[in-house]
Amino acid sequence: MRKSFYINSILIGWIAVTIIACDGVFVPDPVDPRLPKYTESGNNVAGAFVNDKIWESVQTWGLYGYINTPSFYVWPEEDSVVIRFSGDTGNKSAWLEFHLKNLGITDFEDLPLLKGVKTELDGAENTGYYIEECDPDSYKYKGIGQLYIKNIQINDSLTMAIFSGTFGFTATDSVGNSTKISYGRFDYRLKKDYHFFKN
Amino acid sequence: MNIRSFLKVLFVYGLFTLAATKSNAQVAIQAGANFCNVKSDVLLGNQNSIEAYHFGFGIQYFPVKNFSKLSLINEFIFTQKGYQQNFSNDYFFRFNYLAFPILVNYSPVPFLSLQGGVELSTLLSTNIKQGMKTYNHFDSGLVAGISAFDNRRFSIYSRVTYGLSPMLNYVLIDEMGNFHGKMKDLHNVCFSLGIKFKLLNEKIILHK
Repeated sequence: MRKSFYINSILIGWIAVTIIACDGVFVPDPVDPRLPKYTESGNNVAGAFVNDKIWESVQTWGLYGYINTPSFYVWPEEDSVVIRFSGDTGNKSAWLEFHLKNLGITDFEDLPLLKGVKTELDGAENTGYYIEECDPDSYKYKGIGQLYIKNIQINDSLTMAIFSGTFGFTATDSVGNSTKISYGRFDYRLKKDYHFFKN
Repeated sequence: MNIRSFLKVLFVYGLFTLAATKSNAQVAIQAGANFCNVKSDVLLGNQNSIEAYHFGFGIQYFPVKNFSKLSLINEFIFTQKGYQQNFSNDYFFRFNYLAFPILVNYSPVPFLSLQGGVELSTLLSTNIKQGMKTYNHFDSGLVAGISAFDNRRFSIYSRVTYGLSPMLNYVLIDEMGNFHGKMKDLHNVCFSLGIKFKLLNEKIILHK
Protein backbone atom coordinates (compact mmCIF):
# COMPACT_ATOMS: atom_id res chain seq x y z
CA MET A 1 0.00 0.00 0.00
CA ARG A 2 2.70 2.36 1.13
CA LYS A 3 4.93 1.33 -1.76
CA SER A 4 2.24 2.04 -4.34
CA PHE A 5 1.63 5.45 -2.73
CA TYR A 6 5.31 6.34 -3.22
CA ILE A 7 5.29 5.05 -6.80
CA ASN A 8 2.15 7.06 -7.58
CA SER A 9 3.66 10.19 -6.02
CA ILE A 10 6.82 9.81 -8.06
CA LEU A 11 4.79 9.25 -11.24
CA ILE A 12 2.61 12.31 -10.63
CA GLY A 13 5.70 14.39 -9.86
CA TRP A 14 7.43 13.18 -13.01
CA ILE A 15 4.38 13.98 -15.15
CA ALA A 16 4.11 17.45 -13.57
CA VAL A 17 7.80 18.15 -14.17
CA THR A 18 7.51 16.95 -17.78
CA ILE A 19 4.51 19.20 -18.42
CA ILE A 20 6.14 22.25 -16.84
CA ALA A 21 9.42 21.57 -18.63
CA CYS A 22 7.72 21.59 -22.05
CA ASP A 23 5.61 24.73 -21.49
CA GLY A 24 6.69 27.73 -23.52
CA VAL A 25 8.84 30.38 -21.88
CA PHE A 26 8.00 33.83 -23.23
CA VAL A 27 11.04 36.05 -22.80
CA PRO A 28 9.90 39.54 -23.87
CA ASP A 29 11.99 41.30 -26.45
CA PRO A 30 13.71 44.22 -24.66
CA VAL A 31 12.93 46.56 -27.54
CA ASP A 32 9.34 45.50 -28.18
CA PRO A 33 8.01 43.43 -25.25
CA ARG A 34 4.98 42.34 -27.27
CA LEU A 35 7.23 39.97 -29.20
CA PRO A 36 9.35 37.17 -27.77
CA LYS A 37 13.05 37.87 -27.76
CA TYR A 38 15.03 35.92 -30.34
CA THR A 39 16.58 32.99 -28.46
CA GLU A 40 18.17 29.65 -29.28
CA SER A 41 17.22 27.86 -26.07
CA GLY A 42 14.20 25.83 -27.15
CA ASN A 43 11.76 28.12 -25.32
CA ASN A 44 8.81 26.77 -27.38
CA VAL A 45 7.61 30.21 -28.43
CA ALA A 46 7.24 32.23 -31.60
CA GLY A 47 5.91 35.67 -32.42
CA ALA A 48 5.48 38.17 -35.22
CA PHE A 49 3.57 41.25 -36.26
CA VAL A 50 0.60 40.57 -38.53
CA ASN A 51 0.16 44.05 -39.98
CA ASP A 52 -0.11 45.98 -36.68
CA LYS A 53 -1.41 43.05 -34.60
CA ILE A 54 0.60 40.47 -32.71
CA TRP A 55 0.65 36.80 -33.62
CA GLU A 56 1.94 34.74 -30.72
CA SER A 57 2.64 31.06 -30.20
CA VAL A 58 3.44 29.81 -26.72
CA GLN A 59 3.30 26.05 -26.25
CA THR A 60 1.01 25.28 -23.31
CA TRP A 61 -0.68 22.28 -21.78
CA GLY A 62 -4.37 22.28 -22.68
CA LEU A 63 -7.37 20.03 -22.06
CA TYR A 64 -6.42 17.60 -24.83
CA GLY A 65 -2.66 17.88 -24.64
CA TYR A 66 -0.22 20.52 -25.78
CA ILE A 67 -1.45 23.40 -27.87
CA ASN A 68 0.55 25.73 -30.09
CA THR A 69 3.09 23.08 -30.96
CA PRO A 70 5.16 23.25 -34.14
CA SER A 71 4.82 20.63 -36.87
CA PHE A 72 7.36 19.56 -39.45
CA TYR A 73 6.06 17.53 -42.41
CA VAL A 74 8.42 15.92 -44.94
CA TRP A 75 7.76 14.37 -48.34
CA PRO A 76 11.13 12.83 -49.23
CA GLU A 77 10.15 11.70 -52.73
CA GLU A 78 9.12 15.19 -53.73
CA ASP A 79 11.90 16.80 -51.67
CA SER A 80 9.39 19.11 -50.06
CA VAL A 81 8.78 20.27 -46.54
CA VAL A 82 5.92 22.03 -44.72
CA ILE A 83 6.67 23.77 -41.43
CA ARG A 84 3.69 24.91 -39.38
CA PHE A 85 3.69 27.20 -36.33
CA SER A 86 0.34 27.36 -34.49
CA GLY A 87 -0.72 30.31 -32.38
CA ASP A 88 -3.20 33.14 -31.98
CA THR A 89 -3.67 36.64 -33.33
CA GLY A 90 -5.73 38.45 -30.74
CA ASN A 91 -8.57 36.05 -29.93
CA LYS A 92 -8.39 34.26 -33.27
CA SER A 93 -6.50 31.05 -33.82
CA ALA A 94 -3.93 31.51 -36.55
CA TRP A 95 -1.01 29.58 -37.92
CA LEU A 96 1.88 30.21 -40.21
CA GLU A 97 3.00 27.71 -42.79
CA PHE A 98 6.12 27.55 -44.89
CA HIS A 99 6.03 25.30 -47.97
CA LEU A 100 9.60 24.69 -49.06
CA LYS A 101 11.29 22.59 -51.72
CA ASN A 102 14.75 21.22 -52.52
CA LEU A 103 16.13 21.32 -48.99
CA GLY A 104 17.34 17.69 -49.08
CA ILE A 105 15.51 16.67 -45.90
CA THR A 106 14.45 13.02 -45.89
CA ASP A 107 14.47 12.24 -42.18
CA PHE A 108 14.78 13.85 -38.74
CA GLU A 109 18.53 13.23 -38.71
CA ASP A 110 18.88 15.55 -41.74
CA LEU A 111 17.60 18.61 -39.88
CA PRO A 112 21.11 19.99 -39.13
CA LEU A 113 21.40 20.56 -42.90
CA LEU A 114 19.01 23.48 -42.41
CA LYS A 115 21.27 25.31 -39.98
CA GLY A 116 22.03 28.76 -41.32
CA VAL A 117 19.81 28.29 -44.38
CA LYS A 118 18.10 31.47 -45.53
CA THR A 119 15.26 30.59 -47.91
CA GLU A 120 13.75 33.18 -50.17
CA LEU A 121 9.98 32.79 -50.23
CA ASP A 122 9.31 33.54 -53.86
CA GLY A 123 5.62 32.67 -53.88
CA ALA A 124 6.22 29.83 -56.34
CA GLU A 125 8.59 27.10 -55.17
CA ASN A 126 8.88 28.37 -51.62
CA THR A 127 5.92 30.09 -50.03
CA GLY A 128 4.72 31.45 -46.71
CA TYR A 129 1.06 31.34 -45.67
CA TYR A 130 -0.85 33.06 -42.91
CA ILE A 131 -4.02 31.12 -42.06
CA GLU A 132 -6.58 32.60 -39.68
CA GLU A 133 -9.49 30.61 -38.23
CA CYS A 134 -8.68 27.62 -40.53
CA ASP A 135 -9.81 29.61 -43.59
CA PRO A 136 -8.89 27.43 -46.62
CA ASP A 137 -8.97 30.48 -48.91
CA SER A 138 -5.78 31.68 -47.20
CA TYR A 139 -3.82 29.08 -49.20
CA LYS A 140 -4.62 31.09 -52.34
CA TYR A 141 -2.52 34.01 -51.11
CA LYS A 142 1.13 33.11 -51.40
CA GLY A 143 3.50 34.99 -49.16
CA ILE A 144 6.71 36.44 -50.54
CA GLY A 145 9.60 37.14 -48.20
CA GLN A 146 12.12 35.11 -46.25
CA LEU A 147 12.54 32.25 -43.77
CA TYR A 148 15.88 32.09 -41.97
CA ILE A 149 16.58 28.92 -39.97
CA LYS A 150 19.48 30.32 -38.03
CA ASN A 151 20.20 27.49 -35.67
CA ILE A 152 19.44 23.80 -35.24
CA GLN A 153 20.95 21.80 -32.38
CA ILE A 154 20.09 18.12 -32.47
CA ASN A 155 20.68 15.93 -29.42
CA ASP A 156 23.00 12.92 -29.35
CA SER A 157 20.19 10.40 -29.47
CA LEU A 158 18.77 12.18 -32.55
CA THR A 159 15.30 12.44 -31.03
CA MET A 160 15.01 16.15 -30.29
CA ALA A 161 16.23 19.34 -31.97
CA ILE A 162 16.18 22.96 -30.91
CA PHE A 163 14.97 24.85 -33.94
CA SER A 164 15.37 28.65 -34.03
CA GLY A 165 15.11 31.35 -36.63
CA THR A 166 13.32 34.36 -38.08
CA PHE A 167 10.89 35.13 -40.86
CA GLY A 168 9.01 37.86 -42.65
CA PHE A 169 6.73 37.81 -45.69
CA THR A 170 3.78 39.55 -47.31
CA ALA A 171 0.72 37.81 -48.76
CA THR A 172 -1.65 39.73 -51.01
CA ASP A 173 -5.23 38.63 -51.68
CA SER A 174 -7.15 38.84 -54.96
CA VAL A 175 -8.37 42.41 -54.35
CA GLY A 176 -4.96 43.70 -53.38
CA ASN A 177 -5.21 43.63 -49.58
CA SER A 178 -1.85 42.76 -48.07
CA THR A 179 -1.11 40.82 -44.92
CA LYS A 180 2.38 41.69 -43.79
CA ILE A 181 4.12 39.29 -41.42
CA SER A 182 7.14 41.05 -39.96
CA TYR A 183 9.77 40.73 -37.22
CA GLY A 184 8.93 37.01 -36.96
CA ARG A 185 11.02 34.80 -34.70
CA PHE A 186 10.70 31.25 -33.38
CA ASP A 187 12.49 28.99 -30.93
CA TYR A 188 11.01 25.49 -30.55
CA ARG A 189 11.99 22.04 -29.37
CA LEU A 190 11.12 19.64 -32.17
CA LYS A 191 10.62 16.07 -30.98
CA LYS A 192 10.94 13.34 -33.54
CA ASP A 193 7.97 11.35 -32.21
CA TYR A 194 5.60 14.29 -31.71
CA HIS A 195 6.43 17.08 -34.14
CA PHE A 196 8.11 15.42 -37.10
CA PHE A 197 5.96 13.64 -39.70
CA LYS A 198 7.39 11.73 -42.63
CA ASN A 199 5.00 10.96 -45.47
CA MET B 1 33.09 48.49 -16.78
CA ASN B 2 33.83 44.91 -15.69
CA ILE B 3 33.36 43.65 -12.15
CA ARG B 4 37.05 43.83 -11.25
CA SER B 5 37.43 47.52 -12.11
CA PHE B 6 34.12 48.23 -10.40
CA LEU B 7 35.37 46.55 -7.22
CA LYS B 8 38.62 48.56 -7.38
CA VAL B 9 36.64 51.78 -7.60
CA LEU B 10 34.44 50.62 -4.76
CA PHE B 11 37.48 49.79 -2.61
CA VAL B 12 39.04 53.22 -3.10
CA TYR B 13 35.66 54.77 -2.49
CA GLY B 14 35.23 52.77 0.72
CA LEU B 15 38.66 53.82 2.03
CA PHE B 16 37.85 57.42 1.26
CA THR B 17 34.54 57.20 3.07
CA LEU B 18 36.03 55.36 6.05
CA ALA B 19 38.64 58.09 6.44
CA ALA B 20 35.87 60.64 6.46
CA THR B 21 33.72 58.82 8.99
CA LYS B 22 36.66 58.55 11.41
CA SER B 23 36.41 62.30 11.89
CA ASN B 24 33.33 64.10 13.14
CA ALA B 25 31.40 63.42 10.04
CA GLN B 26 28.86 65.60 8.36
CA VAL B 27 26.63 62.65 7.72
CA ALA B 28 23.18 62.99 6.22
CA ILE B 29 20.36 60.64 5.39
CA GLN B 30 18.33 61.37 2.30
CA ALA B 31 15.32 60.16 0.38
CA GLY B 32 13.16 61.32 -2.47
CA ALA B 33 11.42 60.72 -5.75
CA ASN B 34 12.87 59.81 -9.14
CA PHE B 35 11.36 60.63 -12.50
CA CYS B 36 13.15 58.31 -14.88
CA ASN B 37 13.29 57.48 -18.53
CA VAL B 38 15.87 56.23 -20.99
CA LYS B 39 17.48 57.89 -23.95
CA SER B 40 17.27 55.59 -26.95
CA ASP B 41 19.34 56.20 -30.07
CA VAL B 42 17.23 54.11 -32.43
CA LEU B 43 15.46 51.20 -30.84
CA LEU B 44 12.59 51.95 -28.52
CA GLY B 45 9.08 53.00 -29.38
CA ASN B 46 6.18 54.31 -27.30
CA GLN B 47 8.40 54.90 -24.29
CA ASN B 48 7.48 57.03 -21.30
CA SER B 49 8.89 57.98 -17.95
CA ILE B 50 8.18 56.24 -14.67
CA GLU B 51 8.01 57.51 -11.11
CA ALA B 52 10.36 55.79 -8.69
CA TYR B 53 12.26 56.52 -5.48
CA HIS B 54 15.67 56.65 -3.86
CA PHE B 55 17.05 56.65 -0.33
CA GLY B 56 20.43 56.39 1.32
CA PHE B 57 23.04 58.42 3.13
CA GLY B 58 25.89 60.75 2.29
CA ILE B 59 29.08 62.08 3.83
CA GLN B 60 30.38 65.56 3.14
CA TYR B 61 33.92 66.80 3.80
CA PHE B 62 35.97 69.89 3.01
CA PRO B 63 39.32 69.13 1.38
CA VAL B 64 40.67 72.61 0.49
CA LYS B 65 42.12 74.87 3.14
CA ASN B 66 40.71 78.41 3.26
CA PHE B 67 38.03 77.50 0.76
CA SER B 68 35.08 76.23 2.72
CA LYS B 69 32.71 76.88 -0.20
CA LEU B 70 34.07 73.78 -1.83
CA SER B 71 33.36 70.31 -0.48
CA LEU B 72 33.11 66.69 -1.57
CA ILE B 73 30.11 64.44 -1.08
CA ASN B 74 30.14 60.64 -1.13
CA GLU B 75 26.79 58.93 -1.11
CA PHE B 76 25.43 55.39 -0.86
CA ILE B 77 22.00 55.35 -2.45
CA PHE B 78 19.47 52.70 -3.27
CA THR B 79 17.82 54.09 -6.37
CA GLN B 80 15.21 52.80 -8.75
CA LYS B 81 15.38 53.76 -12.42
CA GLY B 82 13.68 52.57 -15.57
CA TYR B 83 11.02 53.36 -18.13
CA GLN B 84 7.73 52.13 -19.51
CA GLN B 85 6.42 51.28 -22.95
CA ASN B 86 2.76 51.84 -23.70
CA PHE B 87 1.07 49.72 -26.33
CA SER B 88 -2.31 48.04 -25.86
CA ASN B 89 -0.77 46.97 -22.54
CA ASP B 90 1.69 48.94 -20.42
CA TYR B 91 5.10 47.37 -19.87
CA PHE B 92 7.19 48.62 -16.94
CA PHE B 93 10.93 48.13 -16.75
CA ARG B 94 12.26 48.87 -13.26
CA PHE B 95 15.90 48.52 -12.30
CA ASN B 96 17.03 48.76 -8.68
CA TYR B 97 20.58 50.02 -8.35
CA LEU B 98 23.00 50.55 -5.51
CA ALA B 99 24.55 53.84 -6.56
CA PHE B 100 27.71 55.57 -5.38
CA PRO B 101 27.69 59.23 -6.43
CA ILE B 102 30.92 61.18 -5.94
CA LEU B 103 30.08 64.87 -6.11
CA VAL B 104 31.90 68.16 -5.93
CA ASN B 105 29.78 70.62 -4.00
CA TYR B 106 30.15 74.38 -4.43
CA SER B 107 28.24 76.85 -2.25
CA PRO B 108 28.39 80.39 -3.69
CA VAL B 109 25.98 81.53 -0.99
CA PRO B 110 25.28 79.75 2.31
CA PHE B 111 21.76 78.64 1.44
CA LEU B 112 22.47 77.39 -2.08
CA SER B 113 24.83 74.72 -3.42
CA LEU B 114 25.67 73.39 -6.83
CA GLN B 115 26.85 69.85 -7.38
CA GLY B 116 28.51 67.97 -10.17
CA GLY B 117 30.18 64.61 -10.42
CA VAL B 118 29.87 60.99 -11.37
CA GLU B 119 27.73 58.10 -10.24
CA LEU B 120 28.72 54.44 -10.35
CA SER B 121 25.94 51.91 -9.93
CA THR B 122 25.51 48.21 -9.70
CA LEU B 123 22.22 46.50 -10.48
CA LEU B 124 20.68 44.76 -7.47
CA SER B 125 17.36 43.57 -8.85
CA THR B 126 14.73 44.24 -11.48
CA ASN B 127 11.13 43.35 -12.29
CA ILE B 128 12.29 41.67 -15.52
CA LYS B 129 11.94 37.95 -14.96
CA GLN B 130 13.71 36.58 -18.03
CA GLY B 131 16.42 37.60 -20.45
CA MET B 132 18.58 39.66 -18.10
CA LYS B 133 21.75 38.72 -20.00
CA THR B 134 20.80 41.42 -22.48
CA TYR B 135 21.16 44.14 -19.85
CA ASN B 136 24.36 45.56 -18.38
CA HIS B 137 24.59 45.12 -14.63
CA PHE B 138 26.83 48.16 -14.13
CA ASP B 139 26.01 51.73 -14.90
CA SER B 140 27.97 54.94 -14.75
CA GLY B 141 26.60 58.41 -15.15
CA LEU B 142 27.18 62.13 -14.95
CA VAL B 143 25.41 64.05 -12.20
CA ALA B 144 24.48 67.72 -11.97
CA GLY B 145 22.39 69.12 -9.17
CA ILE B 146 21.36 71.99 -6.97
CA SER B 147 20.41 72.03 -3.31
CA ALA B 148 18.85 74.65 -1.07
CA PHE B 149 19.30 75.36 2.64
CA ASP B 150 22.41 73.21 2.73
CA ASN B 151 23.61 75.18 5.74
CA ARG B 152 20.66 73.92 7.80
CA ARG B 153 19.78 70.58 9.30
CA PHE B 154 17.11 69.96 6.66
CA SER B 155 17.83 70.71 3.04
CA ILE B 156 16.20 69.93 -0.28
CA TYR B 157 17.94 68.93 -3.46
CA SER B 158 17.31 68.13 -7.07
CA ARG B 159 19.65 66.51 -9.53
CA VAL B 160 19.83 65.07 -13.00
CA THR B 161 21.72 61.86 -13.72
CA TYR B 162 22.61 60.92 -17.27
CA GLY B 163 23.79 57.36 -17.84
CA LEU B 164 27.01 57.06 -19.81
CA SER B 165 27.00 53.28 -20.08
CA PRO B 166 24.46 51.72 -22.44
CA MET B 167 22.06 49.47 -20.55
CA LEU B 168 21.25 47.15 -23.39
CA ASN B 169 23.34 44.89 -25.64
CA TYR B 170 20.98 43.92 -28.38
CA VAL B 171 21.12 41.95 -31.62
CA LEU B 172 19.30 44.02 -34.20
CA ILE B 173 16.87 42.06 -36.39
CA ASP B 174 15.09 43.73 -39.29
CA GLU B 175 11.46 43.12 -40.27
CA MET B 176 12.39 40.34 -42.71
CA GLY B 177 14.46 38.55 -40.10
CA ASN B 178 17.99 39.54 -41.14
CA PHE B 179 20.52 40.01 -38.34
CA HIS B 180 22.48 43.26 -38.30
CA GLY B 181 25.00 42.66 -35.54
CA LYS B 182 25.06 43.75 -31.93
CA MET B 183 24.27 47.26 -30.90
CA LYS B 184 24.36 49.04 -27.58
CA ASP B 185 21.56 51.37 -26.65
CA LEU B 186 19.46 52.84 -23.83
CA HIS B 187 20.95 55.33 -21.38
CA ASN B 188 19.34 55.98 -18.02
CA VAL B 189 18.11 59.55 -17.58
CA CYS B 190 16.82 60.41 -14.14
CA PHE B 191 15.59 63.57 -12.45
CA SER B 192 15.56 63.30 -8.66
CA LEU B 193 13.99 65.44 -5.97
CA GLY B 194 14.71 64.78 -2.35
CA ILE B 195 15.12 65.86 1.25
CA LYS B 196 18.34 65.55 3.18
CA PHE B 197 18.62 65.46 6.97
CA LYS B 198 22.01 65.96 8.59
CA LEU B 199 22.63 63.58 11.48
CA LEU B 200 25.86 65.30 12.40
CA ASN B 201 26.35 68.86 11.37
CA GLU B 202 30.05 69.41 11.94
CA LYS B 203 32.29 70.14 8.99
CA ILE B 204 34.91 67.53 8.27
CA ILE B 205 38.17 69.31 7.55
CA LEU B 206 40.66 67.11 5.71
CA HIS B 207 43.52 69.56 6.27
CA LYS B 208 45.18 71.11 9.34
